[in-house]
Amino acid sequence: MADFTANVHGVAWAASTAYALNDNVGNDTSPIKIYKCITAGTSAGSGGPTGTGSDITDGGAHWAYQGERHYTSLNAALAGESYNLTTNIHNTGQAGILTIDCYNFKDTTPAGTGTGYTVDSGHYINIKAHDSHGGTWNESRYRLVCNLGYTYGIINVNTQYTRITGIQSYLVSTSNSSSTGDLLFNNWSYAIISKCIFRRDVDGFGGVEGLVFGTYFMGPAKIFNNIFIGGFSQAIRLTGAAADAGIEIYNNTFVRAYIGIAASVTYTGTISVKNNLFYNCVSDVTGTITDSYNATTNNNSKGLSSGGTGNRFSQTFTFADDPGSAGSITHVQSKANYSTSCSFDSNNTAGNTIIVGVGFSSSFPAQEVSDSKGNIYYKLPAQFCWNPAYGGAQIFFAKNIAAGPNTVTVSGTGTDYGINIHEYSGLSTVGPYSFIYANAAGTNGGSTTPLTGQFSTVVADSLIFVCGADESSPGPIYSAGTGYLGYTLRSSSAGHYDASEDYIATSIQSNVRANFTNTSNLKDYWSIVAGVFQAIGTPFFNFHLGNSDTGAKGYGVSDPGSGLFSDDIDGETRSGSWDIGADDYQSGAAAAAITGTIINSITEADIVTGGKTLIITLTGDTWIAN
Amino acid sequence: MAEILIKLEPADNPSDLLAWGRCLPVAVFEDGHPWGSLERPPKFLVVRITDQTAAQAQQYLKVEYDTSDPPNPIAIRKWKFDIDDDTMSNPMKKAVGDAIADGTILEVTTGMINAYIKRTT
Repeated sequence: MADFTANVHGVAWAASTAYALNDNVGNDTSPIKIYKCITAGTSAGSGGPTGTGSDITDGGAHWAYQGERHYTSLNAALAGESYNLTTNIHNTGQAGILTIDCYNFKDTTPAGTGTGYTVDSGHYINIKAHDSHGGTWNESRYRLVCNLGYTYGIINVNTQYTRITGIQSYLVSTSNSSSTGDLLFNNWSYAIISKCIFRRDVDGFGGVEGLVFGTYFMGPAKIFNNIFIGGFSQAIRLTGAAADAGIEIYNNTFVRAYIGIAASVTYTGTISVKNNLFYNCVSDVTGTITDSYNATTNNNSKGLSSGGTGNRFSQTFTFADDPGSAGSITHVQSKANYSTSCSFDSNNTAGNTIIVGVGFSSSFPAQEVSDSKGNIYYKLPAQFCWNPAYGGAQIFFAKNIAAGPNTVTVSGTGTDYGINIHEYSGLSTVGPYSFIYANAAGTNGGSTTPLTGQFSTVVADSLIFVCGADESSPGPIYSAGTGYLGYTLRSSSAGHYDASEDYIATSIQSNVRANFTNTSNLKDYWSIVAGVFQAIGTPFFNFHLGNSDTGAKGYGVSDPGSGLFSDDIDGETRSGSWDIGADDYQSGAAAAAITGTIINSITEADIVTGGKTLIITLTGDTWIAN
Repeated sequence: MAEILIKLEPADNPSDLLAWGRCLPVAVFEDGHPWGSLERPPKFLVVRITDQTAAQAQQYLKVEYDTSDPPNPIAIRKWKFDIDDDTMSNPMKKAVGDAIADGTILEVTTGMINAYIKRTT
């Protein structure tokens, strides 16, 4: 056995630069080496650390030698070590485990294992971050940040038995096209993925998925303690028809995915989905998992706009960084046009948000929105009428817009486009924390009142924007629902109806529905969509249970008799139990400093033999031993 | 200028399009990138493209997929740097034994295009 560790790091040392504790740099020659900052400070004007010492002075900074720097990207390491690991790891003629140790830096090259490896259960690829991200997206740790458009997956795994631990992966691409790639694509078996953060800031729920197990994935797999953040259409997608899947999805946290876990075909093996948190997802678990699906689920869901019944907990929980309220959402202006384009009467203001409601005819058309200022538009899923001939409705939006005169245009395969354009101020300009989504359509012979599914807002200050359409002729006459303000309701000459309304909430709205009212030409051809947009608030990145959480944290202790929390596959129990969701805490480092004052000065002998008591007054925040 | 890291060692299964075979581009950076100790012969060759930026040269990492079946994308084409091809300039051929070779984008892409892997399915 000749295990080999390939060190990956891609940043050179720089002169006269301020370095922080745990920063890594590359320097020295023959070979080039990796150093870790052990004392923060500004580097010298030239030179940098050399040699293999454990405390190397470099101006005000001090460094410790870590090892040889073999590769400068994860992809190069995977390409350079592509051997038969059962007989020839690192071209040594021996068998071994290949560990790829990713030091702290921003890696921008998409990575793939290729198919050149030969592996087995004892000789495999182990990709790991050298230092833990600490459970929160961490710009000081290894992160794979890619703006795709030229590959399929930031990490494309095509080798069995691959393990990935602690990697931060961030899909920057603004495209929602499925062809631009998934965050990670795994087409083989025996995968273990843990403590990773999969991030995508773009909202809109396009075709981009998070962690995908491809058609030929045969299981088993263990997926635990990961955090999925952002507008993934499906944070985990299970596509294969595994004969004996044995897939365990435990203790993950899903934030603002359209679907948390989706199985698009029938698995025939066991899939356990337990102890996960789903926060502001449209659905938590969906699909056709039919056999041994442990959807007695023991998951906790909050803010779902559909699902959330049955085997889910109703336990409340609080993240460490729950967004605060900021208030001051204002509707600035709006305009409507029964056409494919519409211009604002007044100039847009930089930093505001444009929301566009689109109504259309024809069967299942696809449309996109753009404007003359070049703002980037994201879209919520379209809602189609039960009778495809009568089209449907869809919401688009652009954040952090440019200033100036602006014309908004919709293009697509539909007909009879009617658009309502709105400008708002005070909405969050960053994702993925801006909306949840609910929709509905009439049924043949059913209700004639447009009414969404149930949804909740999660912060006090939110905008609920609603778009509705009835493309029959003559259509009904819509007016705003109770409590809503209809800005641009319109009845075209053709009798179609393309309506929008909004409600600016100043308190959390729980289990509400949005609706339009109608008074004539009542029909069942309606479609309605609603999006919830949050006000600008506190940056919201720590998706671990907060110290103030009293519901879900340690729930395994408070409910020991239910049998719901029977195991925790990461084996890293906290405070005698385990939590729901990802629970990979940053131990110690995040704790507040504890300072103290000695009230009485005594010796050990005073305590042991004199019976005296040492009194120390501690100040600072409570230290939670996670 | 851009620098492209190109695999020199052959794969065990060179016929497989997804294998890390000889002459495949692996990473692209601006010139002066602090390459790792193993990112050189015999594993890799760095080609410095004198008339393109790293952003422009990123295209050579592009893999073309058939996504007609989205859950099961099939890689159908990717760039390959044909070091042994007669169309390559002499400096490029000579560079196989060195760590870094210089070439213009015309020289590099001529070699690449001639070895562009064709659809395999």
